[in-house]
Parts: sequence; C-alpha cells; structure tokens
Amino acid sequence: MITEVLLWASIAIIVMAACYNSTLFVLSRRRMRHARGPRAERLYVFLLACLNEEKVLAESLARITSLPAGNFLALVIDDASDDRTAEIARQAAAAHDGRVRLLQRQLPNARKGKGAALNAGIRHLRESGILDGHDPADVIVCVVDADGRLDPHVVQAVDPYFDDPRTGATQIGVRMYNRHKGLLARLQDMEFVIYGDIFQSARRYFGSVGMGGNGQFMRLSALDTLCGPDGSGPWSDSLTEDLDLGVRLIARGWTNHHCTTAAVSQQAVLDVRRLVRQRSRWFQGHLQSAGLVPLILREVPTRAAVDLLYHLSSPVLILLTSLLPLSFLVAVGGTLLGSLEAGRLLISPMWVIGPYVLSFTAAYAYGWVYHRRERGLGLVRAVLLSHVFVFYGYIWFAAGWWGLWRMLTGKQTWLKTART
Amino acid sequence: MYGKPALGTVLPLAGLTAAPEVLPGIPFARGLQEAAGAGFLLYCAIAVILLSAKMYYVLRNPGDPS
Repeated sequence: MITEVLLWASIAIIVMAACYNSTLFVLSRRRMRHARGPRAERLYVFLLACLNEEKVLAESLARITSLPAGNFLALVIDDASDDRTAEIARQAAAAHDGRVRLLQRQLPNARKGKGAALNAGIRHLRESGILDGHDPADVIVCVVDADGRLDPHVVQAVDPYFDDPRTGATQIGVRMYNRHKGLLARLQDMEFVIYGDIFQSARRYFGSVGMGGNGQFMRLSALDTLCGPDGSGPWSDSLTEDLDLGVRLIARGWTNHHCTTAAVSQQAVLDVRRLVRQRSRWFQGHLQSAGLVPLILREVPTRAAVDLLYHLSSPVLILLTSLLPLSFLVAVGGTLLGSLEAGRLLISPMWVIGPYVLSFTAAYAYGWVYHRRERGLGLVRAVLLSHVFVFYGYIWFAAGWWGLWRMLTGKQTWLKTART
Repeated sequence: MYGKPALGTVLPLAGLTAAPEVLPGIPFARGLQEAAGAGFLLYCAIAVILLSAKMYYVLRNPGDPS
C-alpha cells in the first residue's frame, strides 16, 4: 500500500509540473493592458559591473552609446580588474563625453560580488552629483552584463511601462548573440526565449515577474525603498541577487513587468562543463533565496506569493525529479537484459508512447514559441530542436546536485563564467 | 527557474509483460521512484504549512495586500 502511494506521488510531481506549465503557456498567449500615467522625460543610467571584461566591454559600450535615446549615460563599475577593462572604459568615456563614466573599485573593498559592485555604483551616482536635479522617480537604472548587447529600440520599448507610477522594474527578454555557434548555444537561446515568452509573460498575471540580472530596468525611487537604515544598498550579496531584488520589490508593493518587445543579447557558454558550473551557481543562489519565504508570506499579495513560493521551491522539485530519469534508465536497462535472457521482448512496442507523451508533449509548444522568435529556423526544425531541448534540461539535474553539495559543505565563492 | 521545462519524465514500470521482480535492476528503479514520491509528499506537507501561514496573514490583516 505504502509503495503504491509513493509511486503515485512520484507521478504527481510530473502531473503538477505539467499543469503549471500548461497554465502558464495559456496565460502567456493572452494580451495584457497596461495602466498608464503621465509621460515624463526620464534619465536612463546603464550600470555595467565588470571584472576582467576586456573581451566584450567595448562592443557593449558601443551599443549603448549608439542608442537612439535622448537622456542616458553608462557607468562602468570596474571591480578591480587585472586586464584592460578600465582602459577600455576610459577610452569610451573620452570618445563620448559625459555618456560613459568609470568607477574604479580597489581591493580589498572590490570583488565582493555583483551586488556589492552595483551598490557601489548607486552610491557613486548620488555622491558624484550626476543625479542632481533629477527626481528619483524619473531615473531608470538598467543593469547590463558586460557582454550585453541591447536592442537599439530598448529605451522606447521599456519607457511606457514606467508611465505607470506603480512600476518598480521591467525585465526585457534575453537572447544569445552567438546562438549560431553550435547546438549548446542554440539550446541556451531557446531556454531564455521560452523562459521569457512563456513563464515571465504569464507571471505578469500573478504579479510575480522576476528579474534576470541582465536587461533589468528599475526605477531609482523603487531601489531606494530597498536600502537599509544602515546605509546598505538595494542589492543583497546573494548568488542570485537579481531574483532576490525582484522579490523584495514586489514585497514593497511595486509592480514588476516583463517586456517582450525588446531584448538584450549575451554570450552563450559553449562548453558543457562551464555551463553546468554556471547553472550550479544559479541553483545555489536559488537555494539561498529560501530565506525570502517569511517576507513573501508577510508582505506579498496572495496570488503572487503562491507563484513565488512555487518558483522558489523549484530546486527541490528538480532534485526530486532527477531521480525519475535515473529510475527510468535502470528499468529500461533491466527490461532489455531480461528480454535478452527470455528471448522475447518483455514490453509491448506501444509502451514507448506513454514515456514519449509524458516527456515530449511540451516540446511542441516550446518549438512553436521558439519558431515565432526565430522565423528562419522553420517550425519543423524548431519542434525537432525542442525535443533535444527536453534532454538539455537534464543539465539542471547535474547542476542541482552540485549546487546542493556546495551549499551543504559551506562553499560560497564562485569563479565567474569566463568570456570567450 | 529555467529548469522548469526539464520537469517531465516517465513512468518505466507500466506495460511490463513479466513480473517486475524477476528483472534485474527493477527493484532499484522502483526504490528511486519511491524516494522521489516520498520527497514529494514531504514537499506537499511543507507547502500546506506555508499556505496556511499565508492564509493566517491574510485573515489577520484583511486590508493589507497580503
């Protein structure tokens, strides 16, 4: 009896995830009206926290300085780089007077994590007088990774969201600019498109849109509400400081949006081992975010809270789910061995339909969504690719157990993902 | 989290024409699945506690957004 219950409970994990994913897919297809307030002239400040980014920084700054927007500047926060990062920023500052600025952090205060660097950037903006005369409600701070290439129309796409005075932050889509360089890069691009176009889009209805760290636009007055009485900045020292900040904005009563009409392109990781390491870091950060649960219970509206609790618990579900493909492989191997010994097939060939439906039904929806973003790929190829994508998702299983191990052994430091 | 699309896998034990116990590895496979199921029941129990706590806050502060 207990065995039966446990087996059915394991199936319930899949059923629950399938129901959640299907609901979000349906919601993501609906159009959403946005509240509008008075239009305002806003200052956009792009923050680039950089540690040894000489390979990618010049291109990102060139993209930002050529944006067809009126009132903006970029602040490069050099976190004590060993390479030419600061020099590249200085050259850009000289070439674009006033548009590019450099804040150089020095050891031992530097290299304390991305959150600390961004907090230093906000502090510098205030102390240097750059923001003098600007209403914090009309200053929009955008976090861009050093390899981030913003769409030229990004400010025009994002600005209307901030006409609503309740808007605290808006996350844009994320793409991989090197997605043509092999299957792994393509699958990462697919992953981010699906996450943005299905999950983030649907979460607008729950009020639980998350922040992604790259292409993340925030109202300065909203960030101010996250600063501590001790003078601490809005970002925490979590490994996933973006997730943390997004949840705390919602808890302060701000609305987060997801903009589907603009994107930032970043560099995909081209090596499986480095990809698993990157995802392990995210996974560990996600586990750390369990500390947000009391805040969510107390401060976040019910619908958003339920979704955020599910979102924050997804590492647990991933670890549990990881046992099922392993179980499947062992069972299939055992059945094949048994069939060889018996001299006949012990399962009906029709049996494969069940596993296929359970594992790959979502691939059709994902393929269709990706095809709409990547028309050149063709619908059939996109659907075939999304079958591979289902297997690609299993990377999270390895990353999950690695991240859990690091957390249990008290390891907190991580090397950043190297650029190529 | 980006891993949500990975949440879909299969039930391997259905459709066997032989008793599962006689096949090598099947008890281990079943054990893995039972472990996942047990973990999920624990997950559900914690979820119920958290949702109850949320309801408590909602009922205690009816005017608040919570």
